[in-house]
Amino acid sequence: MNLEILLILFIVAIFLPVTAGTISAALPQKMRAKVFGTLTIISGFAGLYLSINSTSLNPLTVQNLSFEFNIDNRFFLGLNSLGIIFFAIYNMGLAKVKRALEQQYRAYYAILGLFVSTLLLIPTLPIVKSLSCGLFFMLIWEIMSLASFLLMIFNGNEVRLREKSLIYFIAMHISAIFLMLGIFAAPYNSLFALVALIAGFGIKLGFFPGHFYMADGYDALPGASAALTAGVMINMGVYGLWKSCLTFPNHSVIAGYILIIVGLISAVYGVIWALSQRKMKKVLASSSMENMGIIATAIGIYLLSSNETIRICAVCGCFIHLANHSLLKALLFYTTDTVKNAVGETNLNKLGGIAHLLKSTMRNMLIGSLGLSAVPTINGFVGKFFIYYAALQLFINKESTLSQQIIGMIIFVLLGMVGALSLFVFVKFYAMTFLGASRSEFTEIDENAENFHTVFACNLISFLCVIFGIFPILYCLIFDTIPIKKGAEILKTATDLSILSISTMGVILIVLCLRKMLLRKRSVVNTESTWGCGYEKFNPKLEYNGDSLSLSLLWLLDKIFIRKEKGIDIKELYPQSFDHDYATKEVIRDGILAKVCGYLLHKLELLQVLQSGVMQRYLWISVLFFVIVLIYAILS
Amino acid sequence: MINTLCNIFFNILLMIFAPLLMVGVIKKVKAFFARRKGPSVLQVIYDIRRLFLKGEIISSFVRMNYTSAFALGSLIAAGLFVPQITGEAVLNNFSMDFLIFVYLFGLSRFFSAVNALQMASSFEGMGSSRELVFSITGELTLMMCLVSLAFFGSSCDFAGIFGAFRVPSIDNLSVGVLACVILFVIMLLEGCRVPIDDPTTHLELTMIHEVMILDNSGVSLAYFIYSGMLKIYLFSSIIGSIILSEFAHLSCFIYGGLFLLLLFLISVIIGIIESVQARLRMVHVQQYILFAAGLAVILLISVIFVRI
Repeated sequence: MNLEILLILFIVAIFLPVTAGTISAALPQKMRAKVFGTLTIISGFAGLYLSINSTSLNPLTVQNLSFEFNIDNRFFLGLNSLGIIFFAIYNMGLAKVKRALEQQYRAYYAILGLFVSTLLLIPTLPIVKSLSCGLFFMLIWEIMSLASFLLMIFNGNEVRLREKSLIYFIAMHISAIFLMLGIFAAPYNSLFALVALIAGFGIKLGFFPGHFYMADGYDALPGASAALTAGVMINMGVYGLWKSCLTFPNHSVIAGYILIIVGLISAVYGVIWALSQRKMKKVLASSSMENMGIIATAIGIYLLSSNETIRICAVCGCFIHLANHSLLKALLFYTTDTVKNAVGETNLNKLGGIAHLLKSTMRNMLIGSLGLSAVPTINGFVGKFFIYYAALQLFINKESTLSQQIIGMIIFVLLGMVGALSLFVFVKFYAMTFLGASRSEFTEIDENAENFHTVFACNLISFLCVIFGIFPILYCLIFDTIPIKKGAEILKTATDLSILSISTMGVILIVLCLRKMLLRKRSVVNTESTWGCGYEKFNPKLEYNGDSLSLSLLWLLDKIFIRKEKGIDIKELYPQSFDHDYATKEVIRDGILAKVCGYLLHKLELLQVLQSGVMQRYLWISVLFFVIVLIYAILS
Repeated sequence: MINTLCNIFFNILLMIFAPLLMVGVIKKVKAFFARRKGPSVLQVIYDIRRLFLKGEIISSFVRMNYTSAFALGSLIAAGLFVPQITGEAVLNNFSMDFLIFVYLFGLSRFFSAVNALQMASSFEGMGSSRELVFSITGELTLMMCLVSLAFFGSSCDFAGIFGAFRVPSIDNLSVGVLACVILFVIMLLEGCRVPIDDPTTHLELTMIHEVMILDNSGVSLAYFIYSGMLKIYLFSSIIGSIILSEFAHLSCFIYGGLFLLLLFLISVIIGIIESVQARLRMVHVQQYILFAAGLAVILLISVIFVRI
């Protein structure tokens, strides 16, 4: 295509969301979502087109700035564009939902537009190509972080929300400091720069121990924008990590070891942390930490190994898992938002029994939960399969060194454990949301929460998840950007996975048909209540809730997750009614960071001596300061 | 072509009937130890048939009455990747078929747990919680065992792994025995047998798997019961393939006969264990699985030493 047209498309993709946001902010509330949605969809399609067909635009240089359209840049651009299209469709449906409209203040769309624009711009920016490029990247990165922070802080007036937003703000700026250090140090000390960049992007991705902001931060985001953050913005962290590691090939082995160790710790910790959460969004945020850990491990294998098959499998696993995570996480955030809009609750201990209210959402959440549990037939399994394959090859390959073999073995085994844990998390997530008896009385049910746009967006993502799960070969056709086409082994594996999915579905279908056939002439009575365990009348209070389901595992991990229980100190023989509460605290944020911050605040109180309020003393301090500066200047 | 069709036919035929007969043998052995005549070996088949001919009573909380079919279907699909009576799997030459096997077990577990949780019963919630917690250590152990065997056989699939045991040697014997012991423990865990779970107990508080199907009836109950039996058969097939790999060169009839004999022996061993040992206390179950995990670590270290 003509270069000018591609350039226009690029400009449209970047500037249309900001313009759409600004225009929508000026419009009446009923029209905002539609106008913003339509224009953002156009921008998303422009981005999607560029991701497929913009090789001729590469590299685009404007004065000192550079925009890249390499294979990996286009992959990330395509993924973000797809996420933005789904978001725009879903968001259009929110115009009919009362609870969602309460969150959509006038500036909401302006901030959202800015946020979307940065998400489409960042995948084209080089990070450490030159200082000016690095600074421009940081500028856009900062705008992205600030936009997400503003979305959080304007979400409500609660003190707790402000606290969560400020913790997010601090975490983002610790990340930004590391990134700045990396960019400035790149020409002088490449190893330091690489470690700083990994630390900076690692905090964005929620790597241990920089994950402390994640669950609360994502929980504070309003409605669907949490899906944009978890499904799209987090990809930018992977983009940064990937680009940084490729920029310094001399240190790829060290980077590989760092990423594998940090990735595995994050994956295991993230999934257990997800299990301890009560709020739906927090579960999903913690699960993001786990998945980002798995992706980092895949990048680590790619950097560590010199064997071409292992490298290709690892990179395929990394990119496919990233794409799958992006789709699945967006799907689960949208379904969570629909649940919240319908019944006004996201606490897993209080939900349940709403399957009859939200049938489409239930179906979509089942697909999302199965996908993130990485079970076969849904796309979540495909990426993990390639990562497993790379890890196993690293272990059994005779070219690998002993340390690489041991690393490969540890990755394989721990990924297995993470798989079992993530299955636990999503059984809890899905079952506690929809199934069983209702644990609360929902008085204000909004039937409009499931409307054409919200259901259409979720159905579309679900359809893609299933199709990519059955035909993983489609990844090769859609993204010729990832190096899947290389290597007959990859094609064979993709075909094998298709046979697996089709045969599994076939067998399940046969068993289902057999059941239906057997029950054709029999009675199926659907009126009996569940056995009340000895109680004559069933009471939902007897039912297992989210906490009780995961408690038997969390008890084993008391040292990592601090348990706080109150209300169990019973001294009377016949106690009065009391409230019992149980909460799981996290060791980094509620343990170490809380203690460090408390200690620092205590020490800073000593400085209050200087804050006496006496003018003369302030003048003396100023004079003393100038004298010290003068002495330093003379001596140096 | 005829060989392939025979392979598919015999494997599927065995996958349908062998689990039922194995449990029949286990019950017969238990009766023998209790000095009773016991039910016929075919009684399990009659029981399943009886359940198939019944209608279903479904709890009013049930929203997904297809969970039993999904749980069983995914296990049957897992069985397609396991070499059975013919020494070959129905779906052969799959890379990482052992991983697919483990993950299809996971798919089955997902629907079993969801089935239990949708009933809104505290007992079934407790059963799901236990099943999911024990499966974490179980899967870790299984992964360690399978990755060790993959390293030992320098292969990514079942066929290659079992091929490594074809030549009789002291290394093969020691690794094979250790792997079989670990797989046997995992089989008892997955198949919900004594000492981890007792399928004949009447006390809900001590159950794991059985308590998860308290509110199922008719065809659904038959599916879940059959799933438990199928798990035992599939793990027995893996153990059998390791032990019989030395005889893979014999004619298919002799190999098939040996395979059936081995299934019978495994059933007898399970029966003897169930007769002489009581179910473990719930707090000791995790330790029991950790014992298998410890064995898996030893296996892992030994294969690394043997091969390097």
